[in-house]
Amino acid sequence: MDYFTAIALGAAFAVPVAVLTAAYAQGLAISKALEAIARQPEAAGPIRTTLIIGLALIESLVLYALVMAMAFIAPKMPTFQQMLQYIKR
Amino acid sequence: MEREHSLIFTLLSRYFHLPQWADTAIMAGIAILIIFIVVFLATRRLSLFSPSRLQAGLELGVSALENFVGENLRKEEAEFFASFLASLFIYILILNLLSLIPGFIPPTMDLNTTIALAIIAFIAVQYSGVRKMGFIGYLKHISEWELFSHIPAYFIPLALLGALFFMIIHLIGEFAKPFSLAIRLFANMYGEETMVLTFVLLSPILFRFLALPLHFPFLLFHMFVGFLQAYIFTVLTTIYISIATTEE
Repeated sequence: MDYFTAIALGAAFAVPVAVLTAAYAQGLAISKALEAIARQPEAAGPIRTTLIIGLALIESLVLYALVMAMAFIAPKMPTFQQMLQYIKR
Repeated sequence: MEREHSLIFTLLSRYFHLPQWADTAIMAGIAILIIFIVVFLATRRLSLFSPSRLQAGLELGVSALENFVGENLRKEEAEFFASFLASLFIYILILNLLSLIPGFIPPTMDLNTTIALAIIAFIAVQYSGVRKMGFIGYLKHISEWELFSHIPAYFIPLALLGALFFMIIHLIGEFAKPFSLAIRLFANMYGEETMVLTFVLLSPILFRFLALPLHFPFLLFHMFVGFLQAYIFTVLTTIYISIATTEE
């Protein structure tokens, strides 16, 4: 059962770790963009476009982790029936 | 992988034996049909002085796309690739927004669709480089031949080795690009759909007999993300084309 415990923990920790780091990166990007807009309000348009593209690129890293957790790790977990059989044995 | 199916696929699969990919194919066909009908209606009675509302709106969109491509590419590439990039954007946008219709799923939720789109983008990027400099010129471009062109003659084997090294690194980079494009689009749409599905199921779990549309804000967010991902796919393809056609 240790194997399945490790799989479950891996799937459960993959996304939160990615979210933590990506949230820090997004906060950094937004604070820098706000500073830039405050310094030069007339350049707000291009800065906002670049910011949104950068945010989406950072956010897609989280979704890589989500896909890895859902498509590669989670299917290796046993179904409920298999779990019952393991417990019976 | 377990996945949700569209209403049409579920109804059809009661009577016919359909493979898994038929769902994606049907949805993509519907998207193409929507684009065709809208464009056909808009261009049916073209008028220069009193354009219909649909024609004026589409002209606005087309000129915005042309401006966007013209900002990022040089003139000759912009003229050649504007229609390709614009159709890429419109197609991905319609595919992403298809799930706002009840009973439909976005075909970009399937990895096959996004990989096909990314391969098309990859071929376009490579073709843009070959078209600009010729095949030999493009090989020189990706092997950084300018770095080695001024060294003495007795170092030529070393120079060839260095060029080969750079070429392998650049080729790995080139093949990583469509992969990241495909995974990004797929992961965003899949995550978004999973979130909407979770919040659709949340209300019956919480309140038993009350079905509140708790997923409504996520549908609005879905519209935003669908637009943004189509935009980013196009922007990245444009940037890759401009990298492949620029000589340092």
